[in-house]
Amino acid sequence: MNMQTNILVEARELTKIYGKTLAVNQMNLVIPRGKIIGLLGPNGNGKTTLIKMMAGLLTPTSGSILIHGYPPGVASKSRISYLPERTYLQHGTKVCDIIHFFEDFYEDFSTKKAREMLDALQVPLDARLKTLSKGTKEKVQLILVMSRDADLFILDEPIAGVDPAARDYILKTILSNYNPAASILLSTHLITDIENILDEVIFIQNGQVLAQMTVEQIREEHGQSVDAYFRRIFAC
Amino acid sequence: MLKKLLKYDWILMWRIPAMINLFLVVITLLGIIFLLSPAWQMDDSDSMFFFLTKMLLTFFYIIFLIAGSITIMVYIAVRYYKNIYTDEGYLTNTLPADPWQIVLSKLLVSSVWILITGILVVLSILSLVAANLITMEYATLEDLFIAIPELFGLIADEIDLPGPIIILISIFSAILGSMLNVLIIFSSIALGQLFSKHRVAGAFLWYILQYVIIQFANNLLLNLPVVYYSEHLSYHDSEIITRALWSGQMLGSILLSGLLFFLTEILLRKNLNLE
Repeated sequence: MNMQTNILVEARELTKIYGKTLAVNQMNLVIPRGKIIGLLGPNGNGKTTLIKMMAGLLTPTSGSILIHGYPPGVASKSRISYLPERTYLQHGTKVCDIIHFFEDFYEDFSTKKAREMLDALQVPLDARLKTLSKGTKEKVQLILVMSRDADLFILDEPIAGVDPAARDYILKTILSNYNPAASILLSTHLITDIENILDEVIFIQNGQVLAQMTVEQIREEHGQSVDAYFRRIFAC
Repeated sequence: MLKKLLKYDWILMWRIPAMINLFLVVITLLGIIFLLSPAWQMDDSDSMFFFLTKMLLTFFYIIFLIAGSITIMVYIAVRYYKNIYTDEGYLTNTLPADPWQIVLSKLLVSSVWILITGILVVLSILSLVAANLITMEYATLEDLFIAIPELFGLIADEIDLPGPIIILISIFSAILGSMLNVLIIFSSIALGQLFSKHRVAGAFLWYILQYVIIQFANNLLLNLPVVYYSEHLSYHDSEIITRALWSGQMLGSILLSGLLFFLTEILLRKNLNLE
């Protein structure tokens, strides 16, 4: 496999400005295939903005972002499985209807996989979303996202706001459904919880990539855990 | 993909418009029953109570018709806004579908509901007028069945076009009108997204602005043929003027619809900025 096909995402001079706020500043970034990558950085430093540009939900002010060599569009959206930090499902909908929806729209969606995970969670298929707790709704959404056989999984704060047991479940779900040919981009500031599953980390500060390195590099070269290294470089 | 989008847009949308239309049917049926009942036929010249009751019932009937029509429009606007520009938009806009497919699907589903509501409102008014004519003994049901085709024939003679063509043009105009109404809403919401804050208020402002401009442009397009023909034709050539008016109105609606669809689509494709 050559380098070109190994690249899933490539951002060049990517910039996003909201009014007078510079959220992403001439960012250059490459996301390779086959890695679990942590997108780390303090709140308000451009993580979600970057992710939303990858998902095609935000239009860059300047620069470019390519997914599989294509700008965000139909082709990229059919290969990206995106979990936003909010619930995007209609509250009145039944779980089974949402499964049918994903089944219809995404060719790579595995209904069998989704049903198995929902069974394990004891979520009734005929339950309406509004009857489920916030945590369960988030898990349902994660199950839907992870039941796809996508090239790139983008998970924005998947473990924020859930209890430790739910965190374990979410991380287990991510790992057990991970296809080694794909990549997972995981945005969070709860580093300790996810550090063990990461291959690489991308540190974001002031809308720019501060560093991109493997977890091994951090441990070997700096003799620190990712969490400790994060605390050091982002010390106030 | 368009077929799938249509399916889900229909499933997610049908309940409220169906309830509103059912409500319109119910009040029409109640109206007919009441108009044909002995109570309505009672002489109210001596009774202020009966007179006021009739006035109030008529007033509420008109209010319900207007409210039903407005509620459908508001519901379409809210559904479109929520489904594309709020949390639900995180799903809608990450589906592997082209923006034109997303807009077209919602446009078709919304237009169908506006069309159904419009037809129901017209039928409701006609039914009540017919019921009133029968009650007042101005006409029998048989008379009405004879009079309606006659009236239709008179219109056909006036315009000098075959009846089936008039029916087709009327259906086409109604569909076009429904789509234009929906597109004014969609494009206003899309234009509202150009504001960095208060995007809903922005959409509302755009709606008013667009409505005024479109009315003005439509009137202009409608009157151009009249001005042109009035210089060359006499009053007796009314069928030519009527045809020119129809053509102008339809051409204007087609052009405006195309423009607003293009605007809505391009703003969704090139300027999506979900908060």
